[in-house]
Amino acid sequence: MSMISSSLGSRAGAGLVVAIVAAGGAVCRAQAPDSPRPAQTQAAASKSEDDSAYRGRIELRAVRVRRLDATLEKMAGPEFLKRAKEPLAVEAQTARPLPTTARGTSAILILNGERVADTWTILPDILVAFVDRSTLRQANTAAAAWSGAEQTSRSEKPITFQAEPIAK
Amino acid sequence: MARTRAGTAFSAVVIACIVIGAGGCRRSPPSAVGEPGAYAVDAGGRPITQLEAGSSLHIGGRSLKPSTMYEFRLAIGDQPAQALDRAVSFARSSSDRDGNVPPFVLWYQAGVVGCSDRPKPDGRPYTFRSFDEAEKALAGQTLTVSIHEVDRDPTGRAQPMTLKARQALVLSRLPIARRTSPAVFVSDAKGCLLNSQLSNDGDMYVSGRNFRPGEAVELSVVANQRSWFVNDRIQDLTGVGAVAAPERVQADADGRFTVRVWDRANQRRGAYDVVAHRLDMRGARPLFISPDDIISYLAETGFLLYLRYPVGGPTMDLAGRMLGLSPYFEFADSFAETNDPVRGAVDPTYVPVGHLGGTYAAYYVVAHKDVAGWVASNALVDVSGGIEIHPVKAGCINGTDVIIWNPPLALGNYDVVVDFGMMPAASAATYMTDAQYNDTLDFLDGADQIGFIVAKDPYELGAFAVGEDSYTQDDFFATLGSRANVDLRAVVRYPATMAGAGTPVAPGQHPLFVIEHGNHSSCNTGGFDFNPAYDALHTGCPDREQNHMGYMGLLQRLASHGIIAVSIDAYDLTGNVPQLIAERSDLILKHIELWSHMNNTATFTGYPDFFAGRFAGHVDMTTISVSGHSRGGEASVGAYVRNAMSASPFAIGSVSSIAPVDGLSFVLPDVPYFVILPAADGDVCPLSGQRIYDRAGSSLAPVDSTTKSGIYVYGANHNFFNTVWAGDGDDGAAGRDDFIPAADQQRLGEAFLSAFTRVHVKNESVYEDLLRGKLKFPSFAGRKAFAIRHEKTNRKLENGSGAGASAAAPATATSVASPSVHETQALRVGWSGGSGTVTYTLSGAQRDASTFEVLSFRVAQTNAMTNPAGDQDFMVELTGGGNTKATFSSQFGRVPRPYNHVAWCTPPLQNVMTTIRIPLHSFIMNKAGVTLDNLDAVRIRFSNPGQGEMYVDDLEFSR
Repeated sequence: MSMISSSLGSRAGAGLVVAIVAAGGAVCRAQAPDSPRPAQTQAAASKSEDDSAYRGRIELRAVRVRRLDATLEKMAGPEFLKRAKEPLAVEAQTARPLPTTARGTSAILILNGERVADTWTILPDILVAFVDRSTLRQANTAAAAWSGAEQTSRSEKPITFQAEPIAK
Repeated sequence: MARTRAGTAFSAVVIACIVIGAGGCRRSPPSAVGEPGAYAVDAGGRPITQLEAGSSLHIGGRSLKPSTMYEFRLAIGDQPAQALDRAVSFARSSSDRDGNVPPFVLWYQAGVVGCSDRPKPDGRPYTFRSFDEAEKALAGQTLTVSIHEVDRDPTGRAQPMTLKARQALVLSRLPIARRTSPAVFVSDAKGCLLNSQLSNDGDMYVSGRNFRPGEAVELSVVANQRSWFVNDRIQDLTGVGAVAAPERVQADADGRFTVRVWDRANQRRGAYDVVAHRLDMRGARPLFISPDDIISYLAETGFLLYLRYPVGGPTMDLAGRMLGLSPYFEFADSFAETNDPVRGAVDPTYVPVGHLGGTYAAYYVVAHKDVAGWVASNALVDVSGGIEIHPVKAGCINGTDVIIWNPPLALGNYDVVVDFGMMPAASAATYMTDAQYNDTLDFLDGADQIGFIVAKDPYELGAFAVGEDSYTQDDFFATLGSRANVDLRAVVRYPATMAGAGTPVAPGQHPLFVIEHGNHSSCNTGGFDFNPAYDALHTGCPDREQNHMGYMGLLQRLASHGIIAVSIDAYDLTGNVPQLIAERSDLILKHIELWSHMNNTATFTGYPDFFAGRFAGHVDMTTISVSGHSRGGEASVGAYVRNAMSASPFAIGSVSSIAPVDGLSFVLPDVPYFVILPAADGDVCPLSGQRIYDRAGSSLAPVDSTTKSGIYVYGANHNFFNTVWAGDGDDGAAGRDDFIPAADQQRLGEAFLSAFTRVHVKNESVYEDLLRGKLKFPSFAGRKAFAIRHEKTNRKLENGSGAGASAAAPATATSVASPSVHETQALRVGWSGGSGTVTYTLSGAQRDASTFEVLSFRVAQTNAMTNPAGDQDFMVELTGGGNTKATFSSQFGRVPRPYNHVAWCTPPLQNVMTTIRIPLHSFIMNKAGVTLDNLDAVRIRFSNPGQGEMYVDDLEFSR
């Protein structure tokens, strides 16, 4: 039996009114009064993106300096082409494949200690920075890092590269 | 079904009881619809058919007269208590608009009062020292609950017990049975129930009954929750440093045990529950609540470890709301006017010395008064439509939560008082409120700070009809920085004369809000993104990703509050492209140029008027706010900075960012800034927005003379703030702590961004307190959004350099540069014993705090192992005029454990300093004598926990 509840009085002002409260319902296993409530339906997390390509430092395998082909010219954009006396591309090959999703964070090259925020990615493993020949020294260093996480992701072994020869 | 009981024909009638469904039980709470009456549930909200001796009686009411005060009386036997002198217990509670009263505790533990060392009311009938005693006296008896309508007092001034309770409306009966279910409770070493104990005064014991003989039980003492669900996490706190150290015990042949679970030395002030994890039961899962576990208690607080009154003052949180997620209840300082009932709950972990406790307590909601106001008059005038009265747990001043104000609420500022009456009552009949606030006995949520504010949830839509439109022109800009052929495209929501596409703009001028999305895929068709030919020119994609359509909820909200809200499409700057922050910044400014033109075609004549004059004269170009997400979030900052360098800059008056990147290290000058830092960001893992926040104002003289705000949101990821991105997956770690479903995260983001924007473009200053961490609304209730706040009006006492700060052993203080995600100096403060201090000696103008409102600082736990498993806490003292007054920091804000940010960047435990603001009134109340206009020092004193390490920065007096 559930709790019994009786109304004293009547909606009509007289007579007998009987009410049953909390009666019936499906029979179930008796639970201790201090036992937990049933598990809530948790909002399931949607499928997580794979961020393994971002983990760790970005090490470089090779670097070359090349002239811009038609595609690279479009990447570099008209403003740069107009400004640069001798536009070049520094292409760095990474030791591991680069991520295949577009995110806020991206890999950037660090040339001679200077971050190149507008570094392009060409899959699977090429980072490209556009520079004017005049900014390169004879011997240069290249490293890479994830934007915003330079301290923890910067290449442990920067690569030294020569400005010459310039590849086609 | 609401029913009005007109006529009140309560003449003698025949009572008949019909029994249906004997022996049944239901898993879900009873429906609120049904015949009028009371219903009984157990601590888990399940309907019960009998009360097991020793259990608390939870009673609810339904289908009563709406918005009416009722008295619930409990009697032993078949007859109702005709008067309170015959009642074993009673309570007064208001019905809501539908005539329902949610379940509340009418009788704690069936009268078992145990052996608490607090003064307790003895001599009442049906009070018992032990469960065995209660069982012997009660088993086989019947409980009768009667419900009586109470006379209404519209003035709120009448002492509630002078208001007459009418004859019984309904009776409900419930048999009492022997307890056969397992029970667990905090006890003394002899197994006698305790409900509270002075912290660190004695070891804590737990006793069990009715377990299976010989069964193995793991006992954990855990932070109090309002309820417990299967699969909730069990986090024991009884080890050294609050690390988990659950106690395993085996029940004796009678199914009983008593075991020490918490050494006095390791105890920490707080409200706790006890979990008996039944290891032998099928399905028992380590560290998570299992169906057969026993918990003391669910709806009640299990046990209090209290401290004597702090020097900080007698006010405490009393008002709160239920939550849909753990811990299922939170204290709150703000409520929405609709659908947000105010609950009162007493979990006093600071207790006045010699507090008498009480048998019953009355809950008053009164108009807010400051300290001087309360000193001038302590009379209580309730404004909530009725004064609730509820029984108090024995040996304790620990009340369960009850509704003290049913919606609709009235906009305004309020305090809550728990009135224990003139003296502890020995019986229901002798309880009498004195309708006065007595600071030695009663509890107050108010005075030095507002108890709670009733305001509109910033997530709620405003009064304006919302017009809808968009504009687009491919390749409008031949060049934009390094990019060529950049589109001009956006979606617009605006205040209108009627809702719908292309409707007329509402009369008047309206502020302009512009938001820019961040980087994501740009093309939904395969083979485009990451194809260099496409990446370079963005041509040919047949199905562009609609990144800018991900903020429609925000646009809708802002437009409904009278703001022209524009989300721009940075399509050509999105996808597998470089950061392009300068271009993105300029694109925001270009769209503002367009809006200037559409407002006044004489300006920026190179643009089209996409809407043929519809917005002419309707755009308030003097009030502009810019915002962005991810790369767009840095671009909004960049837009402000680059605009400021212009010869004729736009009037951008506020800037906000969601999870911004920080590649160009912009330094914001004196402009209000707001940033959202998602603790589980899987993209901008270094939480780079913190650095933008830290640098903002750093170039000003004086340094930091600007207003900046932020929230650090546990469980939030990068993408869910954008509805389009949310559909592409979760960038946060799977199974992370404090996970927030996408829709909830969007609601949170929209509420905060809407509030920030409205503060600055609509002058809705009430939401400044939201940004200060003072207000919580239903749209994000229960979410862990920690406020970061710096006021333009401030007097800095210490900036992390360590100048003026001195540590006394066993505390140390060292200035560190750019800790964790920060770009600022901070003091790393460690302590290894309960007597260490760090003192900031004040000099010159620092000594005068009389024109400021709070002592503010930002603080974070480091990753040191000496920190507790939960929140860190310490005392803050102010000394002046030869007097010192102190308060615990935890009364004003949390210093939580570092969030475990499982993502690609390292380390996973990031330390984000969030802000604690202590009202200066806290240091002068009770005639403390601290001279705010001539202070000597601020001191941090480490007492409990006795060890730890944290970063502290920007100690300042502030508005």
